[in-house]
Amino acid sequence: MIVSIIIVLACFLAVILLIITDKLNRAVASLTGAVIVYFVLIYLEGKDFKVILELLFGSESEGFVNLHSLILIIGMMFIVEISKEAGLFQFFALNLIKLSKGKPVYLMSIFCVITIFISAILNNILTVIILIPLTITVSRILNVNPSPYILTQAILVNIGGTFFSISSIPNILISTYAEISFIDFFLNVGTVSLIIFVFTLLFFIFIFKKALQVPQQGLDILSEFNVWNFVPDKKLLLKSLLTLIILFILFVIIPTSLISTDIIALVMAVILIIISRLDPKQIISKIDFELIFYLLGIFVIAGALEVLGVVQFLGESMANFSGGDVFFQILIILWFSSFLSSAIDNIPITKVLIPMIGTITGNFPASIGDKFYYSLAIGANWGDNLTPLGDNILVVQLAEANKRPISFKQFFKIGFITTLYQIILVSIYYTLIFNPIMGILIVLTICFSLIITYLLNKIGPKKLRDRIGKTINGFRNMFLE
Amino acid sequence: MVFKNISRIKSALPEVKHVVMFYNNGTIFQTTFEQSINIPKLGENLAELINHILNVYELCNFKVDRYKKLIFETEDISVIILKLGEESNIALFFKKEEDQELKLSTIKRYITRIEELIDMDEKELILHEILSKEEELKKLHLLLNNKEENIQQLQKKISSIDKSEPIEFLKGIEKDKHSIEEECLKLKKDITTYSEDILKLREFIEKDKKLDEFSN
Repeated sequence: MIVSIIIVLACFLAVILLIITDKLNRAVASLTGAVIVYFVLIYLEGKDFKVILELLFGSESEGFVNLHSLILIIGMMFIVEISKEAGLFQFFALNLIKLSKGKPVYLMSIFCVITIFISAILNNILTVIILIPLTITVSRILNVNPSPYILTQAILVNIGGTFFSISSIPNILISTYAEISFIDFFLNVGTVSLIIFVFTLLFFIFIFKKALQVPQQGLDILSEFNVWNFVPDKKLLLKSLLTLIILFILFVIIPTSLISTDIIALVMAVILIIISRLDPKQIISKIDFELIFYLLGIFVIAGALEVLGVVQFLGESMANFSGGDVFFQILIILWFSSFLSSAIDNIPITKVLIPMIGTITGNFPASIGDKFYYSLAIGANWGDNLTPLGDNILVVQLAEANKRPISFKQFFKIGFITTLYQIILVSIYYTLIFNPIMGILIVLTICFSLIITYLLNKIGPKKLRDRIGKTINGFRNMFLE
Repeated sequence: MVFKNISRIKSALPEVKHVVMFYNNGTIFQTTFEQSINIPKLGENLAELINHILNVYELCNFKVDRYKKLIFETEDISVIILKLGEESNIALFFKKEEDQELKLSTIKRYITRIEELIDMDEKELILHEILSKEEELKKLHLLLNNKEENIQQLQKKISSIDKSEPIEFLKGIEKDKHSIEEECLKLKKDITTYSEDILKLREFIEKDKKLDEFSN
């Protein structure tokens, strides 16, 4: 058993290392790991082939969770690909940008709103692939520096990624495993994301206010940009939009006990493929099979850790370490998953942490147990920005390819500080839920400190005002340099 | 503004059937083509066309900094793609008349104007920033001069104060003078920061220029 555990753990770590260093394609790396795990389980552990099938698609007793996740991912991929082909996201984004009417703060806010809404439907990679070139094109027309907008968008895609249970792969894995409905996920994680988004937007406006300028002439030219140039076929645009609206309505009104979200997504995907009249071969060729194979490999490796008892051991250790305090355990999961996903891809992290949380929450009622999963969803999605690794490298590459390079150092500074700020805000939110008195005290202290600083800056002695002004400017300049 | 330039191109060269302004990422800014054709695909293909030719150059080890134009002639319709700004291009679709030479020079100024309107390159953006900072710097210098004049006036006032005046009056003027002196100090600091920023931006432009010269 010990030998098997060592081999499987080594496989897991090697796959993660290969992905971080970009030495091997992630799908190939995870499939290679899965093949090694197969030999370990079958020949060293003497398991039946049925175990491999259960690792790939989930066991019958667990309701085939992995298969449900895969169906949901594939269904959403079809809908998103056709909507992208219809130019829906660029059309929606540019129409909103035109509404800014030349006010830099409005423009910044609109860019941020667009980012979170698009990333709530698309995955982070697709969102930045669509938004970064569009932002740079708009900045060329407006004659403004796109860096503040690109940096904020790169950070906010992760917030949008926690809006719905379908917004990111970790969310899909979590909600399918823990049987969290679409509406429950939105009410518990989506609304928190929305609140944190408002605070993050205020933070960005505070930092970049002085760097934002929009000349009037640029806006007049932008108004001549024909938004329909993004749309190949108006009917297709309408069909994609309607499908997305109906899909979200069905997610909300149909209970998962009646029809699960993956089946709803698949049905809508099939309907859209038929009514879109696009060449099915062309649509299928655009499906991200690399992601599917990567997931299958990770399912096997992470599942093997569960079969060999590693995950249960880690879960019990965490439960013992925190002394059974729910609030403390939730905070540990939040911070632990954030820092882990900052360096490692969040899919394997989530896949290992899900059953670990299952071990901890085994005896809790669902109302408490689900909070652990919500905390994991937030941590795994948002932690990504603590370092400019992973998906964020793509943002830097896209900016460079469009001849508007952004500094890696600046990205790291703003990403790290903003993510810490967001995780601290969520920690305060959990303090308010589990320890209201302590939470209220923290909120009051922060509000009091901010009000005092504001008043001193407005009506305090001149020397103090100067010092406060200097500190604020120093803080702003730290991100602008 | 852009529309105006398109119509001027069309009146200068009546044989131009259609105009497409597009970015290197395939986004079409404006076109005279009807929406019934697949506009995004058109932009994507035009951008790919340029990329393919650039790839051919790279394969053949030909050095290319930026292309100027790309011509594709057929019996009925000819296409000329001209480089506009840093990342933008204009494609002109001509109806081919017999033995007619295309006089592109007549539309050059409209093209330059469009380039300025839809795609300002990074150097120009920095030059704009330098200009606006220089403008700010001028304002700061003016403000500093005014403040220094105020200080001189207050100094004169202090030295001409009658000894019979109450001491609070003198203290009040000195306090004003002190506060203006502090403001002057702050202004001088701002002037130094702005001057340093301008210097940095100029250095960046110079460095870029040298790199360009070196690579050429």
